[in-house]
Amino acid sequence: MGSPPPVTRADCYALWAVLLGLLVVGEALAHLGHHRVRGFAALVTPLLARTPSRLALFLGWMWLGWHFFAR
Amino acid sequence: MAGRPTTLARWASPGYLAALVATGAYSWWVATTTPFSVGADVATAIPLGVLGALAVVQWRADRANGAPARPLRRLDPAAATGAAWPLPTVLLAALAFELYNLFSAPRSVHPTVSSLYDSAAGTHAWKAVFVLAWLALGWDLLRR
Repeated sequence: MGSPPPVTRADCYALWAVLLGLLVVGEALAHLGHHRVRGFAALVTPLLARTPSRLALFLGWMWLGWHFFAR
Repeated sequence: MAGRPTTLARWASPGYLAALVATGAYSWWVATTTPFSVGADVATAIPLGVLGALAVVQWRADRANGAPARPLRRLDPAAATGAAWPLPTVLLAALAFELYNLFSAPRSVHPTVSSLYDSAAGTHAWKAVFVLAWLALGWDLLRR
């Protein structure tokens, strides 16, 4: 019995692709699958109804932009 | 019978189209900037300032009107009846994988979201698309 094979770059890219695909499929089901699954809008809207969580989401959006485009 | 214009009619209106063109042009310009430069700081700070100011105005108006929790905006009530666990579960899995990659090396073998973005945003057009998506997300958060 040897050590498990190391994780390769292809493995990681494949897993990222699977995760992204699941998000896309989930969101598509929310719109096309008679609402059997809640999409991002339905999940986020209750958070936006309250000021603290609304503020947190907005600050998160600001951080996203600053992190990816300025820094 | 007079009624609210359809979504397509609203999107095709001159105002919407002008806003879309202006936002696209702005995204194109932001994509020309380089991170850690004054240009990138300014380009990112402008929408942060504008939307931040609009958010403050909106919040003060809500408090002045004694408005209750903001209602769903054009969200079908049936949309809130589906299973809530799938998307958060996938997001948690993505977060766990991100942390695993963050604390692993080398980065070329363990890509994080930031390194994936760096690869994807290598072209001007794709970076402009990401900027446009970010601006659209901010506007949507503000309007809900």
